[in-house]
Amino acid sequence: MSGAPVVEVKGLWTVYGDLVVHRDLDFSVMPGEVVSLVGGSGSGKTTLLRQMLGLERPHRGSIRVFGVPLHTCDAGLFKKIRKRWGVLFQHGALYSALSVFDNIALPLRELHAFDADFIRDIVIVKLDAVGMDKRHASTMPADLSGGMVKRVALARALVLEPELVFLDEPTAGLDPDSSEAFVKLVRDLHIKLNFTVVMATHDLDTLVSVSDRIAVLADQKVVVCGRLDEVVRYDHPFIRDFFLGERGRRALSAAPALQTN
Amino acid sequence: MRVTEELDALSVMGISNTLRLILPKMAAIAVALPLLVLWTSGVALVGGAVSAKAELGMSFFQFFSALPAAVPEVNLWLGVGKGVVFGVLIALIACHFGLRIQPNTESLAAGTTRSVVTSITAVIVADAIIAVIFSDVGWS
Repeated sequence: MSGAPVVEVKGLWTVYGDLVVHRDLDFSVMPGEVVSLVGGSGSGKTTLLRQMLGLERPHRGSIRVFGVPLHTCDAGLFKKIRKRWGVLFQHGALYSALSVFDNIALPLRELHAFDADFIRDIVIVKLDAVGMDKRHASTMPADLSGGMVKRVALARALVLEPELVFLDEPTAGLDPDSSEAFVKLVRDLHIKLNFTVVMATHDLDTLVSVSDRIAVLADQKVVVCGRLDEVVRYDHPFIRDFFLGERGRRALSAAPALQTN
Repeated sequence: MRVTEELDALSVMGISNTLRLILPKMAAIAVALPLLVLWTSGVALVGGAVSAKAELGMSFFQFFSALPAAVPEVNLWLGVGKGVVFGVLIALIACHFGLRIQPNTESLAAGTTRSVVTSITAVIVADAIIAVIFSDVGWS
């Protein structure tokens, strides 16, 4: 975990009319880390994520991804950056008109560099990596269960072997069993492929089991960003409610990092 | 597609909306609409032949053999060409409103209505303009 930050947000302001969502927000992610963004509803987690993806423009401030300022660089450079990251949207965002196979193959086909056989092999490997049987390859997204949609979406996000992966609420809408399986899958893949992960979540179990660092969004900025034990010790009303409420205590009791205390 | 974040997914993959969404739809409707023009023109001519027989006692053979002299062929190509123009207009207008909707069902409904109304208006206006331009063409 050394070198230049993969994502660097500096002095970010987001303003909607009179509503200030982010006030002079700073945030950075180092290579190989898993960083979770937490915060209450309306704290601007999703907005921040969308800004880091270049889908929304901040009011003021800069966002650098791989050292490149996203909102001021030229279109060609931005396009290259978009080939180096993978994104898992909250609801999967699979292309409803394409089968599972075509969904995963699309980013590869867009490169116009591989033949059909090679693409088929990669898609099968990726389906296997996310624990999906290849007989699901011809299924349409509408016929998949919620957990399977997330798996396929993850396979699609990982198909270009990205260095950086954005996960928006990866376990939202999954039952506890598939949610746990999904978290384990992300953790295993992270160890195997060593990508950097930026994850927005409010699921405590997910947070505790995969994050290297946790960034807490409250009061329009990142109030604290650090390891779980550092964050829990930080005194802030949101952190008290979130981590030290009943649900929080239960999740934290399972966390290895805190058992030494 | 906006409602299910598919447009955002395309965008973060660096895939162009214009190339992958708008262009194929434009091409498809530019082919489909002239075919529709041919179909409806055919049906209209058959209807004309039937009513000519019923009202005036004109035989089908007589109707269709006199047709090329009464209605020059250029009318057919004018109709097909208008089909292409209207198709491209409709596709562009529909995509314009489709890509601008917000991710909720209310905006989807409003966008659909607006796009239909605008398309109809645009087609009527374009038809009027074409009628003025080609006002001397197609008479026998």
